[in-house]
Amino acid sequence: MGSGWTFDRPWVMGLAPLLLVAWWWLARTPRPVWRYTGAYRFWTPAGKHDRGAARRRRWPQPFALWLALLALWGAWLGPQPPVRGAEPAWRVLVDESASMELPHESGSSRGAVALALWERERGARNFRYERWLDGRWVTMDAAPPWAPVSTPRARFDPPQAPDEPGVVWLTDDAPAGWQHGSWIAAGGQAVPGPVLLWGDEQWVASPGEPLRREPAPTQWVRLGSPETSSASQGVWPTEWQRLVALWAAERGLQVWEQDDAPQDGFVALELVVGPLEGPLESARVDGGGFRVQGQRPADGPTSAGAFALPASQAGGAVLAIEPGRLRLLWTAVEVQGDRALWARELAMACDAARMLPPSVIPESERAAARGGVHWGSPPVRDASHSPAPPWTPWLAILGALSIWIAWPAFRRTA
Amino acid sequence: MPNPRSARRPALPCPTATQPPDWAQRLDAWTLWHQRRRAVAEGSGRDWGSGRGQDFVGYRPYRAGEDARALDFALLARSGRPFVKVTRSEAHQSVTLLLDRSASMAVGPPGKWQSAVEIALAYAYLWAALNSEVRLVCADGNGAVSVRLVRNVRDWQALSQSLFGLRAEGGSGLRGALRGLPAAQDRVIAIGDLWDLEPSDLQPRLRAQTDWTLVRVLAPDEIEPPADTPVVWLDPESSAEPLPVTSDAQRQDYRERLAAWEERWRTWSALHRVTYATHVAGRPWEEALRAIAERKGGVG
Repeated sequence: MGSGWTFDRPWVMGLAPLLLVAWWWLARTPRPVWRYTGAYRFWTPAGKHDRGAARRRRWPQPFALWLALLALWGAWLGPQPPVRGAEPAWRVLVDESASMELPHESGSSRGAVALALWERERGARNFRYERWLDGRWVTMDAAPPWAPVSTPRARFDPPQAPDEPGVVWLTDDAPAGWQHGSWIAAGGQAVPGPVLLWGDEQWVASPGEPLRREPAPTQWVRLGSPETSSASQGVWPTEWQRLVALWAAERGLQVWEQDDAPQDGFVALELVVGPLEGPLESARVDGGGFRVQGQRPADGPTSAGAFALPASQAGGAVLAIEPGRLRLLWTAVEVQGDRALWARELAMACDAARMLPPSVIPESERAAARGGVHWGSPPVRDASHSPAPPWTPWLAILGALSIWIAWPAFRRTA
Repeated sequence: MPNPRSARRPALPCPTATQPPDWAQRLDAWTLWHQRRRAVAEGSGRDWGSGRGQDFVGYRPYRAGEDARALDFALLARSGRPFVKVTRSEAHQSVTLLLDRSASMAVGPPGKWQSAVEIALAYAYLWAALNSEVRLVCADGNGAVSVRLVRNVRDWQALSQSLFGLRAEGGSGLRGALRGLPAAQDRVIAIGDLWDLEPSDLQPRLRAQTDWTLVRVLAPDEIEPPADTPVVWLDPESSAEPLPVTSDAQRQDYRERLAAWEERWRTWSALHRVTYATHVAGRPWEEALRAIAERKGGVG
C-alpha cells in the first residue's frame, strides 16, 4: 500500500523545528538603523576598501554557525537513518476448517462473521490473505471465501496459525495464550449435528445431551467416473474393483457401478485412472511380500498427492490419494506374490482417500467458540530488504567532527 | 534590513527648532558674562580682537599682575618703561550672521539646527544689546537668500519667533548664504556644519578689517559614528544610495577622512586668522560661545 522513505522513530521529526529555532537564536543580529548624516561623502561602501566585509555581507552569520548547524543535522540524522521500502504486510491466515462453515447465531456462517469483523477492524493496514494448501501457507490474491481448489472441494483443515508478529489468525474460536500474533474470532454457540460416522450409523452431538446414534445418510463408492472414460487409457483391474467393493461393504458404503444411473447421497470415494500422458515404460514396485508391475508414464506421476505404494518403496507411485478419489497412475497392472498384503494396502489407501459427508464435523469443531479481536505485534521489518543507507556511519562521523571543529569558533563568536 | 532600493526614506529627524524653556534666563546670563569679561578686558587695557574695530585712546603704565601680552613692546623698546595701550571698542559694529539652513542641519538627534539657531540668536541678542547692527543671512530650500536686520530687542524677538518656526531643508546651506554677505562687515560669524564649503570658498571673502568666526555644528553621530549598532547612512540633501556600514574598517576610514578634513579647516583658519570652533549639537550653546570668546580674548 505505502512505499517510499519512512523513519523508524517519526517522533524525532518533531525535533526538526528546534534546529531552526536554534539557528535563528544563534544567528540573530540587531536590525540596522537608518540614519541621516551630513558627512555622507566621507563614507565608503564596504566592498571598495574591504573585500572581507563584502564576503561577510554575503555570509552574515559566522561560518562556525553553519558548521554547528551541519553538526546538529548530522548528529540527528546519523543514528536515525530513513529506511527504504514498503511497510511490511500483515499475514491474514484464514481458518478453513469445518467449524467455519457452521451457522452463526447472527444468521450467517462463522466464517462470514469472522470475515466481516476483519473488514471492520483492519483499518489501513497493508495485508495479504493466506490459506493452507499442500502443507504450507500460500498467499492468495483474492479475498475469501475462495473458489474450490479441486473437485470435489477438499477440506484442508489447517493447523493453528503460528503465534508470530504480523500474523492475523482469522478463525471462529480465539486461541489461548498468544503473545505476539493477532487474532479475529467470530465466536459462536455450539451447533448440534453428526460428529462421527461409523458404518451406516452416525453419532450426533447436542449441547448438554449425550451422543445419540442415528442412521447415516447413504454414502457411495463409485467404481468409475466420467473422467475415467474421457481421459484415461486404462481401467481399474476388475480384481481391484472387487477389493474396493469389499472394503465399501465393511465400511457401510454402497457401491455405485460405473454404468449405474445417477444416485442420490454422498460420494465418499471414487476410483479414477490417469491421465496417462506421454510414452509409457515398464515398471515394477516391490511391496515387501507382493510385487506390482505394469506400464507407467516415463515422465513420472502427474497427480498431486501421488505417493509410492508402499510408501517405503522407490520406483514410482502406483496409486495417488486425493480427497474423495483414488487415482490409478499405471496401466496393465498385475499383482504377484502375497495378494492379502496387497489388499490391505489398497484398503488403507481407500480409508485415506475417503471423504466424510460435509455434515459430519468433529465434536471439537461443533463446540461453542470464543470470539473477539486481539491485536498483537505488527510485522517486523525485514532488515535484509531495507538496509540502512551506507552513508549513515559517515554522517555520524561528520557530525562529531563538525562539532569538534565548530565548538571553539562558536565560543569565540558568541 | 529593508531593501535599500525599495524602502521608503525616513523623514529628516530634527528639521525644526524649539525655544528652550529657560531661554530668557540663559540669554541674560550669557550677556552678563560677556559684559563682565568685557569690563575686565577694558580695565586691564587688553586689546580685544587684535585692533579690529577698536578706538586707541592712549597709554597708561603697566600694573603688576596684568597680562604681559597687553604691553606695547615698541614703546618699551623705545622708552625702556612698560606701558599698555588703552582702547575702547566701538559701540556700533556691523555684524553678519550666516546661518546654514540646509537639510544636513536637520540631522540628529540632538538636532544641529536647534543648536545653530540657539547660537545665532545668542549672538544676535548680544550684539543687538551692544547697539550693533546685526544681519542674519540664510538661504532657503530654493536657494533664495533672506536677510533679517536686528537693531534692537524688538527686532530680535521677531527674529527669534521666525527662526523657531523655520525648517532646515534644501541644499543651499552656507554656500547660498554667502551670496547674501554684504561687503565691509566688521564681524562675520558663520554657523553651520560647513559640509558644503571648502576653505577656498571663503578665501575671496576675507578682509583685513573683518573678523571671521566659523562655528561648526556637528551631530554626535557625525563626530563618532555608532559602533555597536549596524547603521545604514542616508544623505539628507540628495537621493544617494543608502550606505550600510558593516565593518570596523569602514568606520576607521571615515574617522581618518573626517580628521583630515577637520585638520584642513583648522590649518587654513589659523593661517588666515579665522576663529574656528566645533560645537557638538545638544551641548549647551554657552560652551561654544564662551570658548570662542576666550580664544578671542574676551569678546565673541
